[in-house]
Amino acid sequence: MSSQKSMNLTLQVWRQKSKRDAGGFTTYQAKGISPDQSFLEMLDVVNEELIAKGEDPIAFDHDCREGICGMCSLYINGAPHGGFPGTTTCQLHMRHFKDGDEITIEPWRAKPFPVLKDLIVDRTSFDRLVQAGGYVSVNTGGAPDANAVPIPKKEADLAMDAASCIGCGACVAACPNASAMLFVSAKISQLRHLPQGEAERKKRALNMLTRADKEGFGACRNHFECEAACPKDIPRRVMAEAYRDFIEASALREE
Amino acid sequence: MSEGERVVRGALPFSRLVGGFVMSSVGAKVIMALTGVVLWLFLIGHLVGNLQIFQVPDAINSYAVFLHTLGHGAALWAVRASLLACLFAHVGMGLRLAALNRAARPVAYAKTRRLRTSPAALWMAASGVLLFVFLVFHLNHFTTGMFDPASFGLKDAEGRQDVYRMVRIAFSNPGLVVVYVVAQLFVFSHLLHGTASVWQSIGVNHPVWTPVLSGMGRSLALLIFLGNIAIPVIILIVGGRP
Repeated sequence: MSSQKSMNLTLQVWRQKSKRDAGGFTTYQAKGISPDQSFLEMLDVVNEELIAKGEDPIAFDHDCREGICGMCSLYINGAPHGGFPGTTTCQLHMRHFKDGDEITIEPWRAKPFPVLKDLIVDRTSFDRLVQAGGYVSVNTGGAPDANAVPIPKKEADLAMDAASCIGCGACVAACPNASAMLFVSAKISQLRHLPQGEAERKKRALNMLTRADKEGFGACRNHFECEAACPKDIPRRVMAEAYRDFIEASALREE
Repeated sequence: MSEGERVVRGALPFSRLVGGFVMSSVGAKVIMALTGVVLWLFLIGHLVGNLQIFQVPDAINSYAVFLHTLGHGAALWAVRASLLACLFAHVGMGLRLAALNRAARPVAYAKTRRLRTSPAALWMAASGVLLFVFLVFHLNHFTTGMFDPASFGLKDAEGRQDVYRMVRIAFSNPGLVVVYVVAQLFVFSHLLHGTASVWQSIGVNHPVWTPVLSGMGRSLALLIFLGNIAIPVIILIVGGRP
């Protein structure tokens, strides 16, 4: 449908055989790319060519390709997901680039996100953060009615804003200090606004934020690069809420 | 005895209660914010007191005597001790966080594009360290008098330390004026981020109040900068030695 012609691009891609390999940049030419293709489809084209030549294709994470699963990553031209507002890499279209552009593609860089291969990083540290408190404790049994607990619309909206986090890790990748504060705070905020999550509010903040320090994520210095990079536009408000809970929990903790 | 009651009775020892908070990254952030506010308030008081240099010589000389004799001299040392404690907590936490943050990204990006932060925020650690170096010089200049003992020891007609002439002589030296003005740039840069971000650090974020408070903080940072450079610059221009 596009009136624009296809384009040729030069890619500087981080290649790394394994966790232990030092890794380095390799230059590739992406030829005949349509402006309607997504960034991942552009990489698919490059990989098809590499496979045809018998070379190892570029490894990158992806799954739903519709911006909701949080699997895609890529630090594109110095910003996570390319740095476009509210956009994941899979939803980033090639019309944002011009014919002849050079594009640098790197993996997320953080100590708790070790590179596994090429552009794929191990994000299981995020799973451990959720295990530390990103849940509500409930008894099993029949599913309760959806409307059994009335929640004011405004509170539900605040919880939903935080719940839109897809856990991609762009906040960590964008942070000058590799801090996971926006991710952790989104999980804390999502539950603290709901009656089901209120009971464990203080313990949750204490445990999750302590876990983040232990995992080796950096400390927040209020740059708000995370907020700008977040493909789901999670606001900085959630972090202030998490600090509040943490301060309260620390001051009044008994165990 | 209920489970909850058992927990309260077997509560954490003080060291673990406080230690856990101090060693956490959020706790460090809160401590930096609160000690930063104390140091910021001191800067305002320091500037207001120092602006008396533009009055008759008696004003600042008797102000100095007032500070040194308040509460039989105890008040001055109480304030100095509190400020030093805040300063060391602030610097200590800052250096610890800077080291942790450096360790959190062992492999740097080849290319980085900042989307929202400011140079003042990115240079926080550097401006802080430079500011500390200046502070050591400044204390040796006007508080201990080691840098220029001759003008530090000057007495006025009433036998008091002649602060007025000491400052005038110091800022008749263009080299010293440059040092002080450049140092104020670091102070301004440091305050520009610090005063705006302090609220977020202590968990205060409000759609209306946060921008207002941050704006007020930045305006105060600018006023402190202008007031502080006014002293050396105006003295240099109108002539140092009266």
